[in-house]
Amino acid sequence: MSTIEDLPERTLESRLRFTRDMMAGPVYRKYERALRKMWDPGEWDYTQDRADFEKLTPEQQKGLLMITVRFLAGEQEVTDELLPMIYAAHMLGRYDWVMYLSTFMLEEARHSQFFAIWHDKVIDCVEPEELRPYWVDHEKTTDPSGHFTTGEPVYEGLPFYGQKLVEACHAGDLKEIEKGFVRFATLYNVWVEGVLTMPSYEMVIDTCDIWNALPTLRHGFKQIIADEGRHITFGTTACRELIDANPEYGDLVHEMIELYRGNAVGMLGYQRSVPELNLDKYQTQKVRHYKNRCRELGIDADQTLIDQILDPNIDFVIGVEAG
Amino acid sequence: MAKQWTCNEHECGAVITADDIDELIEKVNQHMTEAHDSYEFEEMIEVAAVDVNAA
Repeated sequence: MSTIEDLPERTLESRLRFTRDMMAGPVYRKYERALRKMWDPGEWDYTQDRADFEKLTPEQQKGLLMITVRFLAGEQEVTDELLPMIYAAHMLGRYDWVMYLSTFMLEEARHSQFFAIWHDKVIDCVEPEELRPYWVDHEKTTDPSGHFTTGEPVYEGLPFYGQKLVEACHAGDLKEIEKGFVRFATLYNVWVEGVLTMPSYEMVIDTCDIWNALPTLRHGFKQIIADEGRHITFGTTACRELIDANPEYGDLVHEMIELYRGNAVGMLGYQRSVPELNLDKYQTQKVRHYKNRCRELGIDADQTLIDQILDPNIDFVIGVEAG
Repeated sequence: MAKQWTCNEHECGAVITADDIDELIEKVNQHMTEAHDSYEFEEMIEVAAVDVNAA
C-alpha cells in the first residue's frame, strides 16, 4: 500500500490554478455573474401568497400543489446529487468548473430553501407527512399505445449515473471520467433542467399571471429560472468542449436522452389541471428547448423525437419534472 | 461584428440581428414575447449568437 510519502511532488502549476485564459473563459464568467446575482428567499414576504392561496378553489389548490411539491422535492434531489460533477471537474483539472459549480450547488440549495419556506408559510406544510396528500407518484406512467414508458430521471437517473461518475473518478481514468461527465451532464443539465423542467417553470408563472395571484411564488420562479439559465449552459458548454475534442461523445448525449424519451413525448399532468393554460404552447416549447440544447452542444437533433413530441395522436400524461 | 441569433421555436426560424450582444438579448426577448408568449435566457442567447458582417 502506498503512503503519503510516495506521492509525487506537486508542481507549482498544480497549486496556482488561475490563468488569464481561464479568467476570460465562459465558465469563469458564469461564476462572476452568479456572484452578482445573489438573492435570499428568507428576506421575502409571503403574506399575500397565503391570502391568495386561501381564496383559490380546492381544485386550484390541489393542482398548484401537485407541481410545487414536486419542485420542493426535485430541488433537494438536484442539490444532493451534484457532488459527482464537482468531483469530475476536480479530477479533470478544471478549476474554473469547480469554482462555477460551487455557485451552482449553492443555488440549487437556495431553490429548495425557497420552496420549503413557501410551503411552510403559505400552507403550513413542509414535512413529508404534511405534504404526502399532495404527492403524486409517476414512476409507472405508461403510454396507452404501448410505445413509450416514462421513468424518473431525477430520482433514479441522477443517483445511478452520479454513482457511475464517482466510480470513474475513483478509478482515475480520464477518458472514462469525461464520458461519465457527458452522460451525467446530459441527464442533469441538458434533459432534466434544459428540456423537461422548462415548461413547468413557465406553467407556474403563467398560472400566477392568469389568476393574478401568488406574487412571491411568481417572483421565486423568475429568480430560479435565471439561475437555471447559467446551469444549463454550463452543462452544454462543458460537454461541447469535450465533444469537440472527442466527437464520438456526441452519441452518449443521444443515448442518455433515449433513456427518458417518453418523458418529453408525454404531456405534463399539470397542463390539464389548469384549464386556462394553452396546452400546445408547452408541448411545442419542448421542441425549441431540445433544438436549443443540441445547437449549444454542436450535435444534430433527432427529428423522430421532435415529430413524436409534436404528434397529437401520441397523448398520455406524465408527472412534473422539477430540478 | 454584428451578432445574429435564429429562433428554434417550431415553424418559426426568425433571424434576429443586432449591433452587439446586449441589443441582441433585448431584441430576442422582444421576439419571444410577441411571437411565442415566452422568453429566452441571456446565457442561451450568448451561446447561440454568431458573428456576422454588419449590413
